[in-house]
Amino acid sequence: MSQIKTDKLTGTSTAGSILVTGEGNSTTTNLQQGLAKVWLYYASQATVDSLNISGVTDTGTGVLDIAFANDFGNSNWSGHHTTDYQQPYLSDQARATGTAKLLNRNSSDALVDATAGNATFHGDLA
Amino acid sequence: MSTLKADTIQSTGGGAVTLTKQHAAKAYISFSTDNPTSVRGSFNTSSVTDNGTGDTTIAINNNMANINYAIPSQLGDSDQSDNGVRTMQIIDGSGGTFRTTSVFRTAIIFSNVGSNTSRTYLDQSVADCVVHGDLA
Repeated sequence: MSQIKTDKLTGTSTAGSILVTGEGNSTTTNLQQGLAKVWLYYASQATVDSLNISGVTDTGTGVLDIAFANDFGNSNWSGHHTTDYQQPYLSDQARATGTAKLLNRNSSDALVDATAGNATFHGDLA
Repeated sequence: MSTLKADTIQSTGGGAVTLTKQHAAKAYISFSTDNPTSVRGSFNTSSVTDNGTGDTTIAINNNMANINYAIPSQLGDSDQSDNGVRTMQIIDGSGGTFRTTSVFRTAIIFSNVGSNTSRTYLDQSVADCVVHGDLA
């Protein structure tokens, strides 16, 4: 098996666009668009580990404001948030290129702090 | 730091290259089921079809190799004064008929707290899905 070792991959036609052949060998998929651009694991309203996060702020019970280190190109990213409660959400109103608001609600819609939570974000970086 | 420039990367045999212990998502979509159902942002999806309140079929552009792909899904938070639980589910249908290599179907469900039988479909302004699995 051949192996290429490098620290950085860049497209030759478009720097931010590299195609990789799919598993079935018949189609290609865009490498950059498929990569998760942000992920976060938090506990007790504070970061445990993360990628591309510059700050996590506890702004109230059940609310975490997160800031991305490298912003998205637009606010139409696809985000996911899970916790140990019934209703983990991403705020519609606070969706921006550089920030997101994680909300955590119980079954009565009340905001509550999660014991721990996970979030990922896919989309185009700026 | 070395930089490798290329437009397409394949294995030496012409197939999928191995990214050391990593897999990229094969599709993602952020969409709204508010009338009209619309796409907010996406990658490798070709269309969304409104099947009714909170019921949406999403078409994948380059098909998956099989129907055993994973679809993490998430709802936005827009109105939480209804004292109930909202979830987004992936509908498999009878015998898995709603999940194919080229489409999957989502349902946004509202469950009334205190009632095991009160479950209704509802529309939501923001819903997100990601697809992980093998491409055809």
